[in-house]
Amino acid sequence: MLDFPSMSGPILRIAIPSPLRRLFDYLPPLRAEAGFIPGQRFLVPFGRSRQVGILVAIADHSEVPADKLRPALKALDREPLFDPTLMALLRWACDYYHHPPGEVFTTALPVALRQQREAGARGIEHWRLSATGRALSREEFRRAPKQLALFHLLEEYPQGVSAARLDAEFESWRPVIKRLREKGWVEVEERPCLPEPAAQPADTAPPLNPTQQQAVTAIGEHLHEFQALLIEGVTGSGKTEVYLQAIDKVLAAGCQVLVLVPEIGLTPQLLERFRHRFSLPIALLHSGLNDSERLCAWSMAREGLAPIVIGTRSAVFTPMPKLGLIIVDEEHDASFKQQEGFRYSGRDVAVVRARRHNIPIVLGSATPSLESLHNALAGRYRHLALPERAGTAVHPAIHLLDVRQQPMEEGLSAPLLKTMQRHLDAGGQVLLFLNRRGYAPTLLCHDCGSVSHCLRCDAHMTYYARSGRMRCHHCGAERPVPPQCPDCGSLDLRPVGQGTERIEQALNKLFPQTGVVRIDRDSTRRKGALDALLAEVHSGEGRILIGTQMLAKGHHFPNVTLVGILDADQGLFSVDFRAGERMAQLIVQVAGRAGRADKPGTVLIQTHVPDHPLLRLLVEQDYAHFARAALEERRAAQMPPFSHLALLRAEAVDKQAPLTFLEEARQLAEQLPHEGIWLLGPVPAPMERRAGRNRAQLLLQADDRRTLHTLLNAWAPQLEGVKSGRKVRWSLDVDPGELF
Amino acid sequence: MENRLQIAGVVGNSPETRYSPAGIPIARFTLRHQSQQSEAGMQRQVLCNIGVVASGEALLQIVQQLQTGEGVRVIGFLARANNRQGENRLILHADSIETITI
Repeated sequence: MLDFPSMSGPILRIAIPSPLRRLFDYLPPLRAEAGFIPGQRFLVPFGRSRQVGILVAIADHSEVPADKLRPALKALDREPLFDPTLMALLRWACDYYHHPPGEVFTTALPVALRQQREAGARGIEHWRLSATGRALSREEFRRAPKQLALFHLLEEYPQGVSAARLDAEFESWRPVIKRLREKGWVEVEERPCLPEPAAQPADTAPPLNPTQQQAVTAIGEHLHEFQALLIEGVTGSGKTEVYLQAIDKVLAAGCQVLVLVPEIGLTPQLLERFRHRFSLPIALLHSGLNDSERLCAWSMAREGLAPIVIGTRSAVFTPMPKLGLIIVDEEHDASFKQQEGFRYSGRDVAVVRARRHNIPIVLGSATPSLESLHNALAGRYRHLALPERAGTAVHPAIHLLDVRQQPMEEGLSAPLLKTMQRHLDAGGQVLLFLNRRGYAPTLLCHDCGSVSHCLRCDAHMTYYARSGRMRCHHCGAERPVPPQCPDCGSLDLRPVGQGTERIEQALNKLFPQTGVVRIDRDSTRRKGALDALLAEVHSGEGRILIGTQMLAKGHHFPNVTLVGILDADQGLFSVDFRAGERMAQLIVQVAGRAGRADKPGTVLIQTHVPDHPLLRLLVEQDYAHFARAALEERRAAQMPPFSHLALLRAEAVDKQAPLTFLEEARQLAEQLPHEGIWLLGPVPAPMERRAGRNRAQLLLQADDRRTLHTLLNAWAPQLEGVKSGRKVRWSLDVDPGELF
Repeated sequence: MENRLQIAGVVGNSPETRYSPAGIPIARFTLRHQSQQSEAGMQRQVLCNIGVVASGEALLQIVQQLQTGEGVRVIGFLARANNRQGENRLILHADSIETITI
């Protein structure tokens, strides 16, 4: 037998961003010292380009012929970026979600490290005048006007100025500042990227009520053992206080804490409470950071310098050497599930991570997901209820408002308007909730009856009156409002139905003396706009709020005494099996904004189906009763959590191609052992055309998770080889959040 | 196909103006017509009302000046317009309006 000399060394098995569900084998770099550790990044040749990959495993032989094996170019890290536990978690995620490892490992890295940047908690540079610089006279700059201008600018910032600020205020400042530095007039300093914590905490821990105390004790009972706890705490019950005091215990034991939240931008108040309670560096990880800020926060967490890490979904993969507790706040929130690419659930991965680290994890919500509730009722999670509002606040009174045959003023019924007036007269604020952006869901031709359709989707175009444009909420397509009906040429186009913009306009007419604030994705698009609008509400300038689900997320409006839900019926008649659950969660979360301080709250829900059993249960009992009934419905219908789903989606411009691919995929599955698995489809997706592509899906459903994954293990790699798959864009979604 | 109507009368009510989503003004008023016509070689009186729609900035200038009882001549085309009771009616879409003395 021939002896391949190259086979004697170790083989590096590297995850590289690519759609292939496998690792790639490389020889060590030519002049490499020994000591390769999984978790290090390598620069490797890949096809004709170079890629940054992560060493996942070291093998002693490769299936690849020796003459095809190429050496990696160089190691980018001395130390692995991920500890062994995290490496194992990521490998588990590749297997569980059947997603290409390259993309999984890349997701776990800050963007800067996906390129060749060095890992490490580098500070952010700040420039300021030195002592000699401050003493200079203008005369020194007689022949250097640019230097003088920059000198003046620096004088305005005695505390120092960052590169980002200089970029904004001074064109090509770098060469100028370089000359000033050479003369010793300017000095540079690296500041930590995390805001300096206060020397002393501003807040002290308030006393807990007995149920809160119980919860804190339960979390702290076994700090170095896996334990999942579900905190089902009504809105205003003081869940956050439970988190804070539990975190305090964990920090005292010298451990780090990871807090996952749905969206950081929407919850500035939560952040404030953390900052006021702990005088410690807090690393924030969310999509609003630039690459350097994110790298720095990530590195602080990885080096153990940030005891508290608060982040959105992808922060679940942050390396934390002393991780002692994970908290998932608003665990029911759909945004924990990634909807594209690597479709993982941040919440579910967090539970697996806690188990692998042997630490407690707390899932908290006023409206737990049916999955988590099921786990708690089955005894897999410890179930803690906080049924009482903290302090003096009382539960709001919730009433259904039957609007059948009621005269409506732009979607607002007379009894609602009357109640609003009463609350405004009494000095309260009113919050109206409508989960529909824009002026009207569409335009209708009054002469021929045709409605404005998106040319690329099976959807209406939403009408925006203020900007005079039509927008598709599904593909983002935009066009000016048509001057006439495209079908019959009539000028008489009319907006049908109500969106938040139309309600805002109506409110301005109906309550001309009262400030109206609209909060939705359109009114908060500009940076800082949300903060400005919230400030308007808190100052009392805006007394009527109209908004979408953005309002449901953890905001605290102590003066709101009336909440009106304008249309509760949307969620009751949707094709998605989770729609009812989501609607109930939204109603409860929005209702929870009422009467949070010491003013009692009222909630009015406008509906055309006042007898809907689940709606009645929610209003007459509470979410807990609703959820248990909804769980029974799921059990009867054999839907999750009583079954397990995987959804194979395919889309293409061609109408037939997705169905052809899925049919072939189905046949492959049928040739594998598939007892106990229902193969449902292929069928066109509920919204068949989106962004010009035809979409179809094949649903796999099984009572037993293991059965399903046994099939997926064999099936997913086979799908890569399916020829008709090259004509479509396809994806496999394990535990899909929605079936659209 | 031909569709042309020229009719004179008086303005029955002061015009109401609204705007289409694209910002085109759409004004409506009722025209009251009264005249002598000959039929089968004999003279007769004609009395009728017809709705007038005047769209666009150019017509709006004229329509906004109209007073109830003022005489107008409208030239335009006929189209269907269902009223609130769902009855089929015809309505005159103006492309020229001028005031006249009566």
